[in-house]
Amino acid sequence: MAEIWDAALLERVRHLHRVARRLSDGLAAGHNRARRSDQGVEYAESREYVPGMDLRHVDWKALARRDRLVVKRQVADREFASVVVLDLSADMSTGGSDGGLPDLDESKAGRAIAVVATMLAFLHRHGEPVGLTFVAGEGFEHRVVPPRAGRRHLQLLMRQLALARPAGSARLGEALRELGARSRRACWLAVVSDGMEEPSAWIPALGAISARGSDVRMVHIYDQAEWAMADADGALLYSPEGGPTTSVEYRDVRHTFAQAADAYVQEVRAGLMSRGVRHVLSDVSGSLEKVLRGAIA
Amino acid sequence: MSLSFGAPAVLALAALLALPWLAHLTRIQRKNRRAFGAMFVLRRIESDARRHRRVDDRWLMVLRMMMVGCVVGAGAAPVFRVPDPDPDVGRSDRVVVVVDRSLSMAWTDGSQSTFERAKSQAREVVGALPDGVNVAVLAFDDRVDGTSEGWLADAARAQDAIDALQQGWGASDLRLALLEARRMLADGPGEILVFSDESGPEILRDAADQVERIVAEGHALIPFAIGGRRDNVAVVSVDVTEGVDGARAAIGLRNFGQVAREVRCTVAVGGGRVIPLFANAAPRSKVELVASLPRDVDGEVGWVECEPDGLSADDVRAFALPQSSSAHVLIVDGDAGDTPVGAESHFVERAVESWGDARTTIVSPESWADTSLDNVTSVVLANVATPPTVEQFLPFVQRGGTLWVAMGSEVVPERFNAALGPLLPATLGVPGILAARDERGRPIVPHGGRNAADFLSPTLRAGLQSVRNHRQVDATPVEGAISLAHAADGGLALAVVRVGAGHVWLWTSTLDHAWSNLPLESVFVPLIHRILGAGRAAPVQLVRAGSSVHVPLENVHEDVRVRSGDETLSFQRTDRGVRWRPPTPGVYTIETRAGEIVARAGAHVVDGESDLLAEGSMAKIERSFESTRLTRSTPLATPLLGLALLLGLAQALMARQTRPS
Repeated sequence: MAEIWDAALLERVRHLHRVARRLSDGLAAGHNRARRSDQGVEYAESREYVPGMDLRHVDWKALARRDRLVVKRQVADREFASVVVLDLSADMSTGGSDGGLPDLDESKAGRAIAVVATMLAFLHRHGEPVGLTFVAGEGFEHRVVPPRAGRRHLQLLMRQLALARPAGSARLGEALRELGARSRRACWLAVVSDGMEEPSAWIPALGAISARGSDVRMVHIYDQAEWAMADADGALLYSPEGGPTTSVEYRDVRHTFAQAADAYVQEVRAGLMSRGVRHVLSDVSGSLEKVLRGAIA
Repeated sequence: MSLSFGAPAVLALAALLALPWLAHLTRIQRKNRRAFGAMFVLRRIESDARRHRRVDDRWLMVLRMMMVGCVVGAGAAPVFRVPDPDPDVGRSDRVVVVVDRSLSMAWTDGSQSTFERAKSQAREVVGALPDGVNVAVLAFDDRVDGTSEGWLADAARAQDAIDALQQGWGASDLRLALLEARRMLADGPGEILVFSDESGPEILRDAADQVERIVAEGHALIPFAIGGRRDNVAVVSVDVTEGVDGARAAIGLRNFGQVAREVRCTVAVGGGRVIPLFANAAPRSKVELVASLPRDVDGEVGWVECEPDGLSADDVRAFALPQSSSAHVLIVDGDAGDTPVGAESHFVERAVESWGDARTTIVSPESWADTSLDNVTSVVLANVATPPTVEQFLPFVQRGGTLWVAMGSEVVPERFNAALGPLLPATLGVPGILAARDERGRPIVPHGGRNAADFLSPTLRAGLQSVRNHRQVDATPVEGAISLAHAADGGLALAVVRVGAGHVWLWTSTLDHAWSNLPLESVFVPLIHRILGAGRAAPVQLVRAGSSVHVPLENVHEDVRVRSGDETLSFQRTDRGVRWRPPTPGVYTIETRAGEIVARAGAHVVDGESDLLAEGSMAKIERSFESTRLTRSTPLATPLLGLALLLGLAQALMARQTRPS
């Protein structure tokens, strides 16, 4: 476990906060988080009016009956938590992590962490209880952080994100099924992953969560520069998650790979959307704000 | 040029060239290892990625393959050969110098003929021979002549012998020359130096067997091809045809060169008359010019002369002018008939009338004795019962007159044989019926051959084939007579014999349509013109310049001489004529001492020497029998090994540079 007072860690946490705040400010301007249309509210209690309370919820009947200015507090008929699932499998490390903490600007893992941090900050700002689950990865203190509200909770989440680094294999399907079993209640769910597993192994699990009433989206992280295979020469390619190496001449497979990658993305998108899951594609070097708008809107 | 290998079996090791290719294809890829976050997608196309396996470091592989190739090539001991433009001469102690003096060598570029260049080069080569080498000099065209002294030990004398060689007019018989050279070297190997333009369509092909034998016998055959590009136009033929409208000369010109030529020609027809002609001759093609000959040409030698080029001898050609001219024809009509067309003389008279300048006198046999033969050019005895005697006709014929004897029902063969036997070309027999009157008659078969062609042109011979005889007198040709046609059953129909300067013709059928349809056929008029025009001029023979020719002189017993213009040439008198060698193309006359021309000859150059294009070369033929002949060889093994070493260094440097970091 990293030291609480580790200067580098503190700086990283602060950086995450800054990024999240900057981006979530942009998202918050004129934007309300949409709730599901079938989400209902109910009377919770009445309170004596004090200056600052929202006058839209004044109980006029009570005023007429008792000549007292009373404000009604309402709550949703169900508790609607927000959970973010972050895939930190070893494949997410490409783009510049080199085994250490991922670069927040150039690696897929760094992009994913920045997206998650921003989402958490935004949801917290709106008073939503937020939780975080890591799929694969290492370095963090808690793999699953249940949804809670509060500033301290956000600090905890940011700390985990600052400590996390990619490692291992995701086994995304298994992780999502486990998530679905753990929380039977509907929630707001965002899965941030590169999806580098057979789509048929994990899309149905995500679809099942959506089918139970959850508001589900997937932020699909990829590295366009990596997929472009822009080098003139070849290389011995290997997956950080293990497996055999493959010798390729980029000029020979570039075109075919581009077609295969495009086909894969279309397969994932079609599979998710057919199950009511929103699909947001995010290039490492692309606009983070645009991705977040697509994911949170 | 050629490439040969001393150890060709080593070339099988060329399979080793595949080794660098295989090594580069299969070797462990020394590429950079790189983490790739989308291996999942890559594995979906992994079979495609593997299929495009490439040869690594292509240029390095090429260098290595070239290095292997050079080593293998060097092992095969390659030798590169090119024709040696300057072969060594004088390696043996006997050298035969063969100089081509044929007509084609007379071509000149204005400064020097090919023959002179050949002699000059031969002198130079002989002068450079080492001491002690014996030299023989041969010159050839269609015959081979050697220096009378045989082998010459002194180079200066050999050079003198070369200088003494004269241009010939004959065709090239290189085969004969090489045969003679081999004969001279029969008792040991030597060198044969041939100075020739090697031109002519078949000269080399004909000589190939001699070249093969020379190579087999171990002699060195060193050709010196002298010629270069030479464009030539030649007069290759003149054909004279006769018709009712007169005679025509068809002049064949051939352009043997490689550029188109506009050619101006003149046709001289005697009496100072010249007909100009023009022709455009495309490269390597023949063109024909036609000249209409005047009616009154006098049976002399015609002369075609075209604008001279490098080889002027073949720009001229003689031809025999048709021997028809103004004539006075005396017809002795033995059967005047009851009607004009029934007269023997009717058709002949009509035919002579179509002549430009001729007249006929018709007499009966009874009034013959009162008739003078002065100013008469031809006499026709048509169906005469009692012919005049030899004594009456002999002087007339000998001085150039024509006597034409035709048969009929009045003729008594025995009387003719008795009266005119010595003059007649055949002894007459009994008349015979060949076919009934209502039948078509026996067709006439004209004779071919050179003698017949002197009297009857191809047109006349073709026309005679339409003639059919129902009756004719049997006749047996005498010695010296020329049979010109016979009837289909073999009986003589037409014959001629020379008597002095004149001729006696015999037609064994009639000159009216009683026994034959001759007067009714289109050939009758030109035949009349030919027969009755012949004899006024001396016969013309076309001969070849440079060759020994024989001109027959029938019934000429005086001393004669052969002249060309004012020059008298040496000749040999034979039993039947004269023999001599026309030195140049031109017109020659055979005259009596009194100046009377008894024969004419037109000499032109030999055919076949005008094509100056050399098709192939003697050196190439020699190399076909032994590939090392007349070549300069360069062994390539050492240079290839040096190149292999350089390539090895280069590939080592490149391998270091391309090693991945």
